Amino acid sequence: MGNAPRVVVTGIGAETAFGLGVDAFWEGALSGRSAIREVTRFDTGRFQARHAALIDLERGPDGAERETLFARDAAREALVSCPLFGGGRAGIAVGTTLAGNSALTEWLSSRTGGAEGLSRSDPGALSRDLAARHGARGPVSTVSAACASGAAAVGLAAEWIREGCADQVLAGGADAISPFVFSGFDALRALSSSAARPFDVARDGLTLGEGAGFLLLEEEDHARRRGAPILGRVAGYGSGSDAHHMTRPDPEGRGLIRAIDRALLQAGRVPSDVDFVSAHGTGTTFNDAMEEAALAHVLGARARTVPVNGIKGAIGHTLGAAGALEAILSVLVLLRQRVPPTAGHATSRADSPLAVVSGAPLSPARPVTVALSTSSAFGGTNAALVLEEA
Amino acid sequence: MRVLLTAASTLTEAESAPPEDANRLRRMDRFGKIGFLAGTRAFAASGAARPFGPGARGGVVVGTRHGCRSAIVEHAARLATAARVEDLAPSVFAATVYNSVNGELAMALGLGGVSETIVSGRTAGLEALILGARRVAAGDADRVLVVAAEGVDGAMREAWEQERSALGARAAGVVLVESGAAVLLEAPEIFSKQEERTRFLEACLFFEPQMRRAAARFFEWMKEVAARGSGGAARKAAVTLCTPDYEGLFEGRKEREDFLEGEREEAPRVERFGAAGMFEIARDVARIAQTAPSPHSPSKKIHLYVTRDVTGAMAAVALESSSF
Repeated sequence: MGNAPRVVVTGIGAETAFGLGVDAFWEGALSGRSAIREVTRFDTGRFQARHAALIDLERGPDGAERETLFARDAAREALVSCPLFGGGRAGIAVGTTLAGNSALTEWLSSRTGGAEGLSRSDPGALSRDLAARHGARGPVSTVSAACASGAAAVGLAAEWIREGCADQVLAGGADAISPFVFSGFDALRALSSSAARPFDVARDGLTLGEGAGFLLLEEEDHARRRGAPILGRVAGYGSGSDAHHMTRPDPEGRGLIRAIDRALLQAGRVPSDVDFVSAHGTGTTFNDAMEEAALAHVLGARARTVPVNGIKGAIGHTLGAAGALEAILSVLVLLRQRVPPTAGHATSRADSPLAVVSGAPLSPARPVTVALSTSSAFGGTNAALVLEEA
Repeated sequence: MRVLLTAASTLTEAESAPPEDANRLRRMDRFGKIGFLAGTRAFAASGAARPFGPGARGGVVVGTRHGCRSAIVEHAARLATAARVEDLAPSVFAATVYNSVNGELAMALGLGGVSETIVSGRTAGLEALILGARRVAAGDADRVLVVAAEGVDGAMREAWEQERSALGARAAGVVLVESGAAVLLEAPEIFSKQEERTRFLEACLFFEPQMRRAAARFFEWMKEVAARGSGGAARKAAVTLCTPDYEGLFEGRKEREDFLEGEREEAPRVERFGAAGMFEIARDVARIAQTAPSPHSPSKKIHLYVTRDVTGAMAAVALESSSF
């Protein structure tokens, strides 16, 4: 990385099915509970699956979509330490998988809405909404790499700071679950019959969730000058493609391996430095097997000792928010030196190469100073983030 | 930043595909088809061969405003009438992700490296180009295929008519055009078969809803680019506003003529959404690449390409091209 500016985390914000706020997210994760419930917000009678981790929040008074409300809530919390955020050196990077779909579906059924019909279904509206609300006048962008979107947004934001395009960037992801999304994953036979069990021998699919996670990233000197709390660092980001199949991961995990290798290289780290893994861990047969293969390849024999958490067993698969929420979880593990158990996980398969934390929180024997967060997506897109202690 | 634009292609409708891609195209929506075809044609124009397996040093970056909207519309329509989940088509839902073009191109062309997708409205295409150039410049990839695409179906046209009417008098007569554009970016180290024609110089990206301030910020950046360029051989320059000028962005502003010699193009009367900018660049790169080299020393020309989203985003890219 040479003399490139260092990127620190000075704020975090979350909204998940555990509730509003990072504290609710962390306490829920530590408890080992799952926020997955039977869906009552819409009718699942036509579908095979019945469960999701949903947030009890309706559309805003200004007509804002639910993903926009989640994003606003999480962004507001992430900016608590920085009331003066804004201006030409402040940016916004948002990841989303399906933002705008509900608006589009609604427009299709009514064919009214004027200009709103097109602009409200524009996924880029998510980042522009936050830019307008918080006065960001630097780079503002929305990325959509399916379930790797949140991680990609954090990676993009960190690069803007390293390259001197911005001093501060609010980065994260948001998505909301609708019948549209639920039906699609159900049609793909990707959903669990009950609740996701990441890396468990009896796993039978993923469970959808919704929410948002945001991190305030900042150039280190800028953060120190204003006396901001430094919670951690974003040291590396990598992207890699499976080039294998649109919905099934490469069984050998080659795209994810390339993403991890690149993230470690950018961070100036080697695999033996990794102390904790926040895994993508959807709970599907194919994803978890792929991730086991990739992590075993990268970490070697140490894979059996590096603690792994799969948060999707607790808050569901939050799609475009997942990578950002898992980055926040990594920051919290670095700060608090405790690894939450993986909700839904009881027993790994006999030859699993991973040390999935299960049952109760773990206080690792080796201090957690470097965390790896992984994301994998339809389209064969993979992303990895390396986060370090402050 | 040493990044070359070595091959390009543009499309305004999804034309017929080579037989090797026919099955692949069948499962794509309009966005997927036009993006995929633009990408494979730019790749073919570079002379690169399709590999048998994924390589880590090649990647794909895609920009779009509405992307997989056709697939979304189709899934929504099926859902509206479905009595049970079996009535839905899994392959249609699988195409409702914005990175579908990334995945298809990665598989077809063996591009197993970086894969990123930008969905930032009308600036998405140029943002994708900026990101792709960053990946090559940083050494994350030797070769990145940058694609910008918008598929246009009946529902999109209907929605566009509503949006256009709300954009005011300047939008009258602006025509929505399905568009695909692709540019192959390569590191100079791997490009040796011919002389450099076009290279990426620099870029700016910001959000400024107030139109006058946005124009001022752009012209400030433009002056910096012109100043940096003046140290070398004499350079002519051009500025192209690639999105329709719904706001009168440059009206009454002399800076374009004052600081840059040469061409002044009028804003287009076509709406390409997120493919704007990339379309014009791909068109120019392809034209320059096809020009026969001259025995005389080429002059260098800086060309600025600008996209503006009326919501406030602005992206601009400076390229330097050999002009024979």
